[in-house]
Amino acid sequence: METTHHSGNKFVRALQVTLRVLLVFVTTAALLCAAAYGALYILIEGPSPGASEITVNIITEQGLDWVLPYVTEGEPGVPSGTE
Amino acid sequence: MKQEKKKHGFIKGFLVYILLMIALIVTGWVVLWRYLEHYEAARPVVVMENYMTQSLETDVDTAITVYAVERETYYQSASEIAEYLRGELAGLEWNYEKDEELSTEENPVFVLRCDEVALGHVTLTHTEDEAQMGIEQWENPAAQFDFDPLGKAVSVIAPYECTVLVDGVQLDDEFVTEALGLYPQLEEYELLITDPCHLLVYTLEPVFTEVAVEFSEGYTVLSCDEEDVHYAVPEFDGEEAEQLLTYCESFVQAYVDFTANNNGLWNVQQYMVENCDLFDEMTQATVGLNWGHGVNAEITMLEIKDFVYYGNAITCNAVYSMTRDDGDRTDHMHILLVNTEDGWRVIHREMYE
Repeated sequence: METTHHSGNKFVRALQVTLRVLLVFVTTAALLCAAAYGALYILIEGPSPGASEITVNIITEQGLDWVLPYVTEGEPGVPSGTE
Repeated sequence: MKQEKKKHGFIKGFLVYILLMIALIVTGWVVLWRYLEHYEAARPVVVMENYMTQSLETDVDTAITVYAVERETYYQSASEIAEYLRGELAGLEWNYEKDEELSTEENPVFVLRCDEVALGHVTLTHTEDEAQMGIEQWENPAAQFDFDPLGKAVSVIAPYECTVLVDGVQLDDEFVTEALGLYPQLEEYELLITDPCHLLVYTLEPVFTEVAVEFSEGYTVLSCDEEDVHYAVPEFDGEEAEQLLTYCESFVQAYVDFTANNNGLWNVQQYMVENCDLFDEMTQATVGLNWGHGVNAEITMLEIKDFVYYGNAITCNAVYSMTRDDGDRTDHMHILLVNTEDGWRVIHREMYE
């Protein structure tokens, strides 16, 4: 009986640890995504049109045009703030 | 109880972790934002934009004042130059473009243009201050202006014996840029005119005002289409000119008599330089019978105009109307005469429309 109870506790603890690790992992991933999104937003919409041009060029050269509609309101491939 | 504590401990630790992460991310964003601000401020193009809006006007004004003093001569005062330049540049838009040839890694150079005319250069240099966030800043741009392109070049072509006066003052050798043996108007007849003229080309550059060009006695101004080129040609004696006009009329009359009516080869050749191309051409024409004859033309109107005496040559244009068997027509003939031992003779003629 005691053995069963003990092994039940172990399982619960293992589950608890797994969930906590998962929670930390997911939260970290979400925060890193938010950080990257924010950094990209600052690069493209931030104080430097020059930097935005470079960023957009890098992104388009890397074939990631799909990223742009999510961070700019304009056409993909066209940095905001430039004509 | 212990379990509860552990649980709360995790939540606390997790919250602290999230807060630390958020703080870290926000700090990163702030640093990135500030870095980009410095990057933007340090871009040469932005430095130039600021220069264009803040300093250009003052710099141009100062440069005009300095330039006008440098270019002051007796025929244009500094104030006249400055007034002209300020008037020319008023309301015009300036723009800039990077000069790839002059630019270096250390010093980007920009060309300043006003209405598409390059009038200056701006050189950027690094500041001596410490670089901000690892980005070098640019020093206040140093501009250099040259307003020469806004001035015009006035040329005077005159025989070397002729005294040239600009605004009443004689031009000295300092202004001589070239020596010519023939007036540019006669260049196409270079091989026909063996007797050279000794001409000097005076160049006044840059000129920002209207200048009055005069020549010494015995020379007259040759009118031409070029606005800023003045030619001096020797004055031709009026009586001799009248005689030569009659001479040219007689030549044209004889020429038409020969070419249309086949009347007297010698009659027309007596007006020509012996054995010149035209002379030989006419002789050949009678030998091979390949000259058009027998049209029976009669001159109804003949006018000699644009008579110009160059000293070693004379050019004029003959306009004449003829009644011919095959209908009436008007011809135009350009005539070139040169001075020979026997007097003035025709050396070349060409028809023109």
